[in-house]
Amino acid sequence: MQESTALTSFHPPAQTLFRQIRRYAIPLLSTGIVLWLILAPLILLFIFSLREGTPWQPGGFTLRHYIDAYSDPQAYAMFVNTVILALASTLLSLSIAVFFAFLTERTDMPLRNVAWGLMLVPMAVPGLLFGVSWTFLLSPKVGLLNVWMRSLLSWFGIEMAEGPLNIYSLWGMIFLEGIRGVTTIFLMIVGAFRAMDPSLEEAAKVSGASNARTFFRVFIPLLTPALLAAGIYSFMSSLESLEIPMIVGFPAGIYVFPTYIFFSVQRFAPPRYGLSAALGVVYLVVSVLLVMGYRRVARESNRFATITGKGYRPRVIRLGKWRYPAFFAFLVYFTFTIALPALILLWRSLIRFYVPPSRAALSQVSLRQYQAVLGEDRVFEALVNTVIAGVATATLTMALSLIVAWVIVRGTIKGRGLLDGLTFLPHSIPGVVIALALIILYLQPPFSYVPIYGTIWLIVIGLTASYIAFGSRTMNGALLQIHRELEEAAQMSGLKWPTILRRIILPLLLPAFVSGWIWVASHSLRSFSIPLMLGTRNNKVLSVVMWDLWEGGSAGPTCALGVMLIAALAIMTVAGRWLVSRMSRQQET
Amino acid sequence: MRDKARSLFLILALLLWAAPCEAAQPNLFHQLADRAKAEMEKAKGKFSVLLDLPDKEVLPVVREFQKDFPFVAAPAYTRMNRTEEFQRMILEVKSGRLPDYDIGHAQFEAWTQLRDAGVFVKPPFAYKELAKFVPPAWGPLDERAIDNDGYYIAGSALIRIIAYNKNLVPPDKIPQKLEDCLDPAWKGKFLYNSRHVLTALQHDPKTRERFLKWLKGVAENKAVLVRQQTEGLEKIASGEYAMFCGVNYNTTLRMVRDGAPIGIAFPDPYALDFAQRIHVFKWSKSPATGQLFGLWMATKGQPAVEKYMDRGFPWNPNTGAYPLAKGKYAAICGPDCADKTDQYLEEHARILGLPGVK
Repeated sequence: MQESTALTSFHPPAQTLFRQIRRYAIPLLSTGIVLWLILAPLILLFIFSLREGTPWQPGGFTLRHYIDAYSDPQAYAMFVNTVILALASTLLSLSIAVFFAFLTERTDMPLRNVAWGLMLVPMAVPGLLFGVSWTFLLSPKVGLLNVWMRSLLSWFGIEMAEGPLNIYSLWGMIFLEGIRGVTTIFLMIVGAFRAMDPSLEEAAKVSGASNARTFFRVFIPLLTPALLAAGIYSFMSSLESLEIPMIVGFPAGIYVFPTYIFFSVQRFAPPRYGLSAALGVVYLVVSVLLVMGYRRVARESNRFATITGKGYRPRVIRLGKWRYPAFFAFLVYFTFTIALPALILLWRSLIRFYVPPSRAALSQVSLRQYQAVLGEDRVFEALVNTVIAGVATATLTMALSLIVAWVIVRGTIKGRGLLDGLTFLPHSIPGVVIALALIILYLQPPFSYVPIYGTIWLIVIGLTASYIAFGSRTMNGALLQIHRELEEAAQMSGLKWPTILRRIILPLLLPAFVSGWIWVASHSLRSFSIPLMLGTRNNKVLSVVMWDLWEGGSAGPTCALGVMLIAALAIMTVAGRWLVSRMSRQQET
Repeated sequence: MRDKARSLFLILALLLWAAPCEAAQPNLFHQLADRAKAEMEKAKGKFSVLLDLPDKEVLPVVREFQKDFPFVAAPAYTRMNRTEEFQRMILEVKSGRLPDYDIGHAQFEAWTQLRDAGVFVKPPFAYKELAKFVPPAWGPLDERAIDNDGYYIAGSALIRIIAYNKNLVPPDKIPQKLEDCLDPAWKGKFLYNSRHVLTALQHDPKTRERFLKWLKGVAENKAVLVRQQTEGLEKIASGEYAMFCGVNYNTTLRMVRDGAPIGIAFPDPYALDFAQRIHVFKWSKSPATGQLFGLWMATKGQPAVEKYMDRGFPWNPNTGAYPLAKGKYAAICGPDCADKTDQYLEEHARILGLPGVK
């Protein structure tokens, strides 16, 4: 194994420096770009945290922000709340995602391809609308599900004025964060499920293991790197999430660390970015610790490699009598997490102000909100910008992630562990800081001579920096499952690394690549803070237009635009799924 | 006695000398209009406006302005309404990348920073002087709309009111003043915006103590905090909560027009911020046109401001707010109030017990 490792080494000693640079120009350049994207905001974050004043009028160096941030006992109490919320919601997301990834990828569940595509639809719902839709469903007084449940209970003589459920609670936050995180985890692990070596399952079967035992004793251990990567990503996302805590937790007086940061910063005019940065450092520390833990587990990567040169074809597990119960489980999930929120948003987009759906309320239904939205020229301009931003960001992010993941997983250069850790850090940097870093950089020479300030391309750069953490986690996890022996065989046959990457690695990674692409594109289409900060009159995207409408008191048109965005993204995800299926079939043949 | 006679003589002499001077003083309004016309001829009618409202509210107002001044042939509009965007503007200006807006509004949270960064300049004519020459048909220019330092003129008013659900609040409980939100009947059933929009009441010496006492009552009466007006008004319209204390009049009015079962109560005193405070930017190529637009908005344009923005001055009898505001005290947040925004936000957050306040 030592010899073969040397064969795929990214470190040929006999060559001249120039030849080495020329040979590895693409990985070096890609790594350079990624480092640039990550380090610029990271360095700026540290500078902000150590300076008085504002980004446009910086003062002297100080430790005041750190003292202010970490001398407040409130901060620690809220951090504990946050960890509880993040752990519980991550466990919920992980359990649901693993269950459905298994059902859709490896079993004969009816309509599993359709289910696969539908699993992605929640990604299309912008955070603001997701939270609001659930308040329409589970508000204690007028929430649709509560109204239904009260009617049901009244048949049994139980009369209630409110409830029985209340979304404005800690369990409400956990539930929403949990179901919101499912799609991301699903996409991060689904490739690993598909890429599993069937010989291991067959060995388990031969040994008399049941499906359940095989699942827990073979699948789950093999999926460790992918599950860990997804779990870490989801945990960090929940730690930082502000939308659900603001919409659901804040009215109930349940505060978490992101709420603490938000109010600590916003109560100042101008907002204290230094304090925000100092508080944000805690996320960096948690990220570093988690990535170190992850690398420790994934160190012996060959243990998890299931795609080898021996040929593989993922085996479909027959569920037998559990086929339809499995499908029913999916239907329940689909109804509660996708259909109901989407339908309630559709309902809200058809009426002038919210009332629970009823026969009487049907008289209010009209397409007025849609006419209002479609009558605005800026919506079409924003649509074009949004499509450009989504496609370009997804392509750039996943291409860079693939190459950097290859350098990290397959390379032997020193410092690749550090590179691995660094690629995860942008997830801990607030979007506003990334955008501010780009503004400061691209307004100064020499970057001010690059004509991208004020264009959609600067937004693409900002979004790429923000999503590189997801892309690299996805590609790292998928690459760890491909055994080196395939590349070794190719090298022995005289192929060079670009050819190996293009003809062997990329086809095997395509499902994970496309899944990641869809995730990044969807998140880019709905992302808000970076496009808002980097947006000008000429490069507005739909999410910013949606926010403008919402802030202007136009809830109906906002929901109408949201419904159209969800529909468009749903089509994109279904098309993406079709593509993934087709590619997988080609691989199998 | 002699001294008194001498003084009287001197005053009379001065008056006699000044009277023909004033008569001979050129009409500043005409001068402003002429300069604006010249600017527009030079700029081929291009005039760029920055405000914080949606296009559909601003563009019709600009079109009305164009009817009076057709030489403004090619107006452009940009919306900017978040602090971060204004901060980006400061960074752009500092790096020499000047935006193309000729005139604009500045959000109150960012106003001091923009002023300190030297983004604003005084317009060609002092508003207080200009006020004397406003054509009578344009209506009087209320001095409250003019900045004491002469930087801006306010084109509209942002009034904070109480919105209540008509089905949940019985007629005898309709709020008349902010203190009515503290009725134990509404404990835990009313909304309050955690983004401080009542700074005017906190700043005005006549209302400050009363407001601070009220704010403590808000915390004690378990107000449900929200961050967004639209989100809060949706909750009132749906019947989830009974009232929203301290919300924009114009946003509420829009929902009322849509048929939402919402009532509007103007409290006494009420908070008023000057919205659309028209400043001339230091890089403006059309400062006179900008000043003309501001002056027009504050006077002749008020019916358009009322019609398309619902933000006419409440002291103007032609506005919808006039009968509701009549006889009630308006606490106003001007530049001196904006200067203390930081202090007011901190005080507000502490009383409400918001996270992040020690």
